[in-house]
Amino acid sequence: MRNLGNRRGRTGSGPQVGEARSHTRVEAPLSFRASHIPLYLALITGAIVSATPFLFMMSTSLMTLGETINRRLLPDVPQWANYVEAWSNASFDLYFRNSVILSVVTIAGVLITCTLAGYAFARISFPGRNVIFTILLSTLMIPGTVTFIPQFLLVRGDIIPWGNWIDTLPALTVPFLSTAFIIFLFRQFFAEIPSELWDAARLDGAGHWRFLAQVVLPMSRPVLTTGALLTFVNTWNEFLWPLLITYTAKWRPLGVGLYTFISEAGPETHLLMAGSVITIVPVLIVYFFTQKQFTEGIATSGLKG
Amino acid sequence: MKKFLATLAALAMTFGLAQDIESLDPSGQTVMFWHQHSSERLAGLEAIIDDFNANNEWGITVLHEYQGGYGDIFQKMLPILGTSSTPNLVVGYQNQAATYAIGDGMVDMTPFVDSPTWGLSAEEKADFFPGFYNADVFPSFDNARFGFPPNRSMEVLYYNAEWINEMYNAGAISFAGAPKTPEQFAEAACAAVDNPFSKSTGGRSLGYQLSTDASRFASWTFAFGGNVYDYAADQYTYDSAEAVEAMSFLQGLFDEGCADFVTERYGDQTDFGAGNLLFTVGSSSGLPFYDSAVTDGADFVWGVAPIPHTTDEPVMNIYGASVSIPTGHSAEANLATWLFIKHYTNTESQAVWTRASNYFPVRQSVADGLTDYFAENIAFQTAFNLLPYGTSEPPAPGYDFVRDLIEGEMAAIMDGSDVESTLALANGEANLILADQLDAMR
Repeated sequence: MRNLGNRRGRTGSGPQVGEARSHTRVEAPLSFRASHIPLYLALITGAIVSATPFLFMMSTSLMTLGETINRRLLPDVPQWANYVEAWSNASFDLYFRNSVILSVVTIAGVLITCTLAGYAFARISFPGRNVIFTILLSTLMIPGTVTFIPQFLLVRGDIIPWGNWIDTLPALTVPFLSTAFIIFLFRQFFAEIPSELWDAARLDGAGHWRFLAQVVLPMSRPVLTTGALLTFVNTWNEFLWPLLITYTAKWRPLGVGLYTFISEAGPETHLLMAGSVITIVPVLIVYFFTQKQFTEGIATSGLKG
Repeated sequence: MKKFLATLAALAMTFGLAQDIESLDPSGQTVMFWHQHSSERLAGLEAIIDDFNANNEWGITVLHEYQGGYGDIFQKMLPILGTSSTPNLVVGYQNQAATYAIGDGMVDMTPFVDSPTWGLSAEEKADFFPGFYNADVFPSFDNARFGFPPNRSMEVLYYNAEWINEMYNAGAISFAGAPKTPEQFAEAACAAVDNPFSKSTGGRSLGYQLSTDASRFASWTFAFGGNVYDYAADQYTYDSAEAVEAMSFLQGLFDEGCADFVTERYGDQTDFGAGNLLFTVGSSSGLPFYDSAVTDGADFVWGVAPIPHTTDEPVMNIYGASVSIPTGHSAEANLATWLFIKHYTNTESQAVWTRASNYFPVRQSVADGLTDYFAENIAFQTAFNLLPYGTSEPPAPGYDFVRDLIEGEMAAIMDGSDVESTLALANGEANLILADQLDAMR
């Protein structure tokens, strides 16, 4: 079968998505001016404000309990053993494994469902499309905790009698296999794809499935990466829902593991911070390797056609 | 004749029930225990559970799961009450157990406790601190026992002994040692503002930080000779003369600049350890954290004492979660659960539990085996010796909601609201909450 993507250069009907980016003019670097000082000061302040919690977390993770209670800035002697203690005290190996599984399953589900939904909203005309999309967007206004009770009843099988999912993997993943925001993100990106490509695909006898698979998805890598990254961060940091619907440690993620460091008598802040560093490192690694696609995905999904 | 037959029937039923328990076989049962313990406490609990699993003659296996804090466990229990999804054993405060009982979610442990075969002997019962032992018997539910105490803790006054001595020696205050009366407390708290501690590591010098917590409200009301509940009338008494006096006293400290709110969770521990805060009031279970705070902070001599009181003797607020048996399981499973409770609260287990948790043991005989522990933890022994002066907050259903209400009203009072009218409104609302709960029982 011909690669429908090769049609892009022959239509002659205007700049294509891929071509537009390759012809961007590279501008000369800005020279420093005095008028830039307030901007730089604001950016530096923002950078310090953003970095301070992370630096505090790193520093506190290496302190003794007394040093954390006394709000020291830096530890006298770095307590690397805190990481070992945090890992072993809170069953972090099990929770880490669970977080990985939950993230992989949820990312796969989100990419599949949101790709199909985003494509339908962007490229297929059907009755009530705009109304449905508006209703979908309006759900972004609903705080997550408001949906906990109906979600709980759903996974317990009280509304649809599909069985009791409490303390199981489906309860932790099914409610999150599709999100309005990611659908919106994908829809915006897919809408930017030139209609000429679709016309060319139709000429070749392709329908929506083939167009999606062979044209849209290959050029959607940035937004797919963005969707995957956002889903990963949300799933990795989940706390309240897993705490509510897990009765055993079997499927508990890292967020619940961190909670065990806060007791009724006082916090073990040093261990909590050590556990937090352990929790956040995978997110940083994933973001480090995907930041280019992430930035591109956010930017291009917002461009007007 | 009818009366005779009714009495005979009641006796027969009681005897029948008693016979049922006596003939039960708990062999091979599995008990699931939901709790909120982590770190050292979890290690201590696991040691107790492992000991029971290894040595009990019935082959009973106890499993346990951390389920978050008390509030998280309470939220998890409510939708599954009365079902087999509940654990066999769950931690909970007395008021939470009362709420469960309204939904028929609690097993009355009285038959187990009094059973000739499985229960406690008279000597064992007498070994428990009376206040602890009776706290889980609910008059509102025909004196049913919906919980059993594995531990307790107490609201105590933490004070910086070195700082007080400094101020006494400088003539800033008229007494030495821990304050015994509210007047002495106010004198020292206000003097602390103008006479910073010599070892302070820096920061604002203050006398007292108040956390707006219903237990603090209760503690100070007890210290002024009052109570927050009238057990005879089954009504809250947040607007009693003593409660008004207590809150007015605290408001006065705020107005004078001698006291402030705890603005950050455990912030009072932090400031106390740094030598910036003369007094705090908190749970005795926080002793290890205070010890760490002081040792790595300003490093000074400190102690615990009764909350300054107008009464002749101290009145100490003693609290702690008990363990309860939810309904939804077989009689054999319930018996197996009770047998674990017996093990958990026996003298040997209590000694292990006290060392791991820093909670008070519930049996008086345990103290004999804690001599070395007392020697290493003077403050713990001081607090332990105050147990005879204990009283407790009401085990009323819906008390969790009343606690939320009182926290808000305390904050309003310390911000300047009129004490009498605020407490009158709060009391009315608290009793409405109680009425709703009691209606649900009927």
